[in-house]
Amino acid sequence: VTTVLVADDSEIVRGVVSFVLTRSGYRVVEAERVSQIVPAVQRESPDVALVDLATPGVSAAKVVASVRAAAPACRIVVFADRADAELSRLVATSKADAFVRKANPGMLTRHLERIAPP
Amino acid sequence: VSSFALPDHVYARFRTVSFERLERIEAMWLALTHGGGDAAGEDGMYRDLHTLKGDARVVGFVDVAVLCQRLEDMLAAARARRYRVHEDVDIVVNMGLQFIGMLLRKKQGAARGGIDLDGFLKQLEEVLAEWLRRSSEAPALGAPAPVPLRVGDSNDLGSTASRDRISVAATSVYLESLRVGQGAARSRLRDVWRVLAREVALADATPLAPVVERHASAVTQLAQELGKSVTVVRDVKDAAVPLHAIDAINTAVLHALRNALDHGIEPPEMRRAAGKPPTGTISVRAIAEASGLAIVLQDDGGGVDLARVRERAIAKGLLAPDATPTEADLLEVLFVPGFSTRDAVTELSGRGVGLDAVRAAVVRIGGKVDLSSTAGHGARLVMRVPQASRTIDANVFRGVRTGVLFAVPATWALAEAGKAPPQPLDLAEALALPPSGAPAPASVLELRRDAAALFLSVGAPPVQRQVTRLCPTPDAEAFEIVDVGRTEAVLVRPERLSAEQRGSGR
Repeated sequence: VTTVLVADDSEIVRGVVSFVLTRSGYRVVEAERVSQIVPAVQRESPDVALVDLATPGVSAAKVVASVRAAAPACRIVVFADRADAELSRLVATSKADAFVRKANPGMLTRHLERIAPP
Repeated sequence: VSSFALPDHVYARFRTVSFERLERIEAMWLALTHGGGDAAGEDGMYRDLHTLKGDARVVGFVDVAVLCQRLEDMLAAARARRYRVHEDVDIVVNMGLQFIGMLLRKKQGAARGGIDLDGFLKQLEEVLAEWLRRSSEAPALGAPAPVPLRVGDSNDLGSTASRDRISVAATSVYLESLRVGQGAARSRLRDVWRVLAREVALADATPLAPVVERHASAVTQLAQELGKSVTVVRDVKDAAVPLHAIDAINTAVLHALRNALDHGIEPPEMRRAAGKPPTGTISVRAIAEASGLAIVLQDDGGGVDLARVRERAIAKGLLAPDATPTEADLLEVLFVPGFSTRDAVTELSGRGVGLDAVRAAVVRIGGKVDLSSTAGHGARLVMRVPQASRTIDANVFRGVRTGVLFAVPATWALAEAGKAPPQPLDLAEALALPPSGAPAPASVLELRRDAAALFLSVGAPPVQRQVTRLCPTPDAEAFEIVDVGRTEAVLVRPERLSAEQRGSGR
């Protein structure tokens, strides 16, 4: 089963994503703070990490590098409420693997299935 | 994917968390715009709004997300100006927060229930654009420009669509205030309601001053051509008249001023001989009266020569030679079309101007004209312009489980309480108002209009009253807020209630 780490400071976002992905057959683990991401990656070895990298005060490149160091096989997906162009720039500068725009939960599963099926 | 449904507890949690965010945002905005707040709180405000936006998106409250985006723009603009914002910006920010609250309360997937979000968004954009424009013209430092900026300003003044939009939004804000219970949220919503109702009133009034100004200078010029000298004194301040009346008032003021110049003000030599200053004076004043506005034209000319009016009236067959008319009768003759006490047809009267034209114009808008005169000292013409009729007859009654007053237009006639259906309509329930106070004993009211019948649960027998429309909504709307003598009532147009609102009561 595919494990997804959802890192977002909003409990609502984590709750919705967890619900949607669990229902689609994923295993979901959550991280609220940026500082909890690496320990969670080490502990759970997720296949995908959905990370809100558009949070002010967070260095996206640093986060990506530390997740890579902890779990080289984990795909890192930028998950934020920004325009697509901005998100794809963020993927490039942070060396993440892909992005999924924070939108309605139905779209989320469809996008994620393309990156890693459950 | 609009059909996507999340478990109820997710929506419930989303609402709770979002209301907490809204409260923090509102408090911080208040602090920042009043010179308070700290950097941490300010950052928190942006984070709260941003998170609220993201949450709304994933939960499927697209409207809330859109509103948050607009507010983010507004707040960013305010931040750049160190929160020295115009009152109108403050109002729309607060309104935006209230609207978010209203949208959050709605059931997922339910209709917006009269919330005109598109209208509000447009308004928000207009205020933002106007504000940015104004503040870029204003000096970088100092107080905000004291220019009153209105929703739907000047060039949009005649737009009834815009007025209707605001009326409908105002009404939903008022109804929402009934739902939130006593307390800060209610008084906040009532403030918003009052602001919007005022905007509607302003949009329906147009200033009198430009009309008077235009004709006053024209008449001063005309005086020279007639070998007279006149000063027109204007004192209309910010008097306003209903939009629909402005054309008629324009005509009336034009003819009244010309008439005063032509028939009232004497040539300089005649004035000197009478011991008056050679330059005549016509004053135009606007006086607010209970029923409307009085536009008073007073001149210091010769007054009406009643003996001469009598003579001409007899000559023209308007008066029997042996009649004994009163002063009022004779003054009335002056309003007869084509009547003139002058022998010579002047430049002015040759154009057919006269008091008849003044009266015709004012009567057309439901007003009246009175003339009085003091021989040798001048005449006084009073044009009374009624306010737009804002009253309607309605049956007013108290709801059952609530202290709220309702009104139904009297075009729905009271019927003798006959056989009531098992479940009469409870308006408080139809409006989703929370119960308050002790439940009053309910009785059933039957209302009829043409073939339609309506059964209502009422807490007390109805009283027929004249209610004042505070913020008229278009006829297609089910609700409107009216004044019932110092207190407000929710006017209901039964024929416009949705099937959902009628519930099983019909």
